[in-house]
Amino acid sequence: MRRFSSWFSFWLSFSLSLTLTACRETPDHLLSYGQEDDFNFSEAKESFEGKFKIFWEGMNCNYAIWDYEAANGTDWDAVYDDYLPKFQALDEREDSVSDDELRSLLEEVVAPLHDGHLYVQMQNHMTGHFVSVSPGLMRVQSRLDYERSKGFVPNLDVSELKEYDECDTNFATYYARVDTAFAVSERGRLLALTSPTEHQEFLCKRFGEFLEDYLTIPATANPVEAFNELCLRYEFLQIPGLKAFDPRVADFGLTMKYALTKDHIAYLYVSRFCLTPWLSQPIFSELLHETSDDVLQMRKDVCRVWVRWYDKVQELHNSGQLRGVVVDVRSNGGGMINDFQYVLGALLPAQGFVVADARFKRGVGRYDYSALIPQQMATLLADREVITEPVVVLGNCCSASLSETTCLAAKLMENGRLVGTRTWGALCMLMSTPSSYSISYASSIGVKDVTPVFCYIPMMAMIPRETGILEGIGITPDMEVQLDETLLQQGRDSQLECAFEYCRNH
Amino acid sequence: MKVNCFVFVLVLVLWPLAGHAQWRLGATGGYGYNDYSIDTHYMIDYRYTGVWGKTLGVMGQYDVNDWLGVRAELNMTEKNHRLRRSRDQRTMDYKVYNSYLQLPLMASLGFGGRRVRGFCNVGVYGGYWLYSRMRGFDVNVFSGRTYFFKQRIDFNDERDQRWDFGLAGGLGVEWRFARHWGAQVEGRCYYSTTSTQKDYQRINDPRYNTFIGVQAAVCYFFGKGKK
Repeated sequence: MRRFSSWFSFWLSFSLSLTLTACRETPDHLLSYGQEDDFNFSEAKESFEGKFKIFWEGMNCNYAIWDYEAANGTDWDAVYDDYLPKFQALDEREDSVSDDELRSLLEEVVAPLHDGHLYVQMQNHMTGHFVSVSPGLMRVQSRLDYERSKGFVPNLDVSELKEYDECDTNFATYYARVDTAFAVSERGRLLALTSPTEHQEFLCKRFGEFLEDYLTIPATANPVEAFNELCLRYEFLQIPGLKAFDPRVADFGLTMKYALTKDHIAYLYVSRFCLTPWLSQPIFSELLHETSDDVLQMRKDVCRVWVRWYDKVQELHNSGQLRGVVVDVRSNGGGMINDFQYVLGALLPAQGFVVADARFKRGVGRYDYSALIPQQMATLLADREVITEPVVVLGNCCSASLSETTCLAAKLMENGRLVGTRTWGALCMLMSTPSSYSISYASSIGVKDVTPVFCYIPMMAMIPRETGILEGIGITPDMEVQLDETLLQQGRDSQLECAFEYCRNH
Repeated sequence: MKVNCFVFVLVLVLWPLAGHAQWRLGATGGYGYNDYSIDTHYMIDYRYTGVWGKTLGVMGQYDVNDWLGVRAELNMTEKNHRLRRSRDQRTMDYKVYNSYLQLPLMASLGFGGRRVRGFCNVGVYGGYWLYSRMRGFDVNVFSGRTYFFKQRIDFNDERDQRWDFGLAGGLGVEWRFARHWGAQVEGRCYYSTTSTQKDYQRINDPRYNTFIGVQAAVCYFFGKGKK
């Protein structure tokens, strides 16, 4: 009996150990769509179904706010069930699928998603064109203040100000500085010649061609490249201002305006957050080394305007004359996170400023997230005073990304207020370069204009502590003020006036 | 409430046996290593490793005859794991501590002498994931700061499968050192066949725990006993 029991025990253990491995499910095989990979995207090259599957799975694994989407009623599995047949139907069509049809279907798919940065692009292999949609833009376009806010640039009445300065590093401004009047006049002069030489005829013809080509630049796919080709082609015409534009600067185009009112309210307008490459010498040297005199002059201009604002704020604060500071990020689409230190971060204590909690993707599962990590924004480390006077940030529905972080910070500051209209709703941050994908295995699917599917998605969730995620909603101002169209036509800015008024009364 | 439920089940199982002389009750405790089985897919530098954890509990066994017994335990077992990145271990370290209340039901097959006997336990277990906490650090790439944390993890009802079922088995040695007392040392394995995640997404991405440990038990033999 004892022998039997021993044998039985060991036999049972042995047989169980052999069968145990059959008890567990095998995981699906998931591919990485983070970067350009010919093999991984091969299914999508000639198939709408393949594109949709990559988009769906890439989003499922990389998107950082699925819990928020679920709370807002989105069932991502149901999206698969609903839309896969529609994309399959496109493949089965005998006639060609137009770009508009693909765009329309994509809009339907992305419409329920709330991330404000989200941008989805698919290549229509039947036309060869890339079709893109942005649910954030679709949402904001439906707001009443969108048309007024789109591309808004404040226009200050300089005569009413004590000090004013501005700078502009945008390509559009550089392009507009070309002296086309010179070309028109030269052409006119040459045309008027009664017996022009062959060379004069040649020049006259070229001036005409230049003027035609010049006007087509803004409509081209890559205006900077087209402009530089134009410069090369017509260099011999010696047209004032016709000099090549450093293409590296195209990413750092901004307009900045500094003003000081007669009653000592300091104002700073920043059209886009790309101050760091201009204000930080090491980064400027790294990104724009061996550049032209024009770019060096741009850097001087940016530094001059910012330093004037910063010094004046410190000077007036120290002398007790500062009435307040107004930071204008209306229609500012965001940019480099490091810029925070040069704007609101120049007014806050040097040890940084926590605006929210951050949560990163940490796994392929829809709900694989990191711990909540404080999102501390860098503030300026210089030896300076913290500004205790009223600080007003101006925002509108086209203030996105870092502009919204600035707006959020203003609401959290004891002496800060947000004036204007509700912001875009794109607080979750990302890194846009494909090489940064593996930092968090998030932030992009594919490569823009290269892979059949491309998505620009956040690599983290930004979670303001008081409100929770505000993606697709935006930051609600403390004082909601619309931009009054009638007053604007009279040269008055109702939102800016409200900000000044607040500073004067507090 | 859940703990009460398990205690009730245990009492229900053991109560009919109480009238017999051939049963024993005891306490167990041990230490083990949990292997977390997860596919990291394309996240090629993610490294999940096991972490040691404790197991503590009470046991009851009804000996049908000399070589066969029915054993039930109620224990608290930690099934921990750790996530780091092989590329740069300074960027992330999550030690996740998961506590399960478990009820293994096993056939206990004994063999060997009277004072020192070998035994083999085979059966199944059911468990409930009571709580989870994590400790470690992570880096916020947007601020460049490392954040150290030690916090409780809130369960996500849609994602987390808190019920845990699987196979239980062990091999050990028992020493009857007194008429009514015995001690055991056992190598124990809990092989989960239930993913720690519910089937909450279309893609199939199951994750399993396997706890392998050594535990000791002291038990009291009711009835006449034998030495």
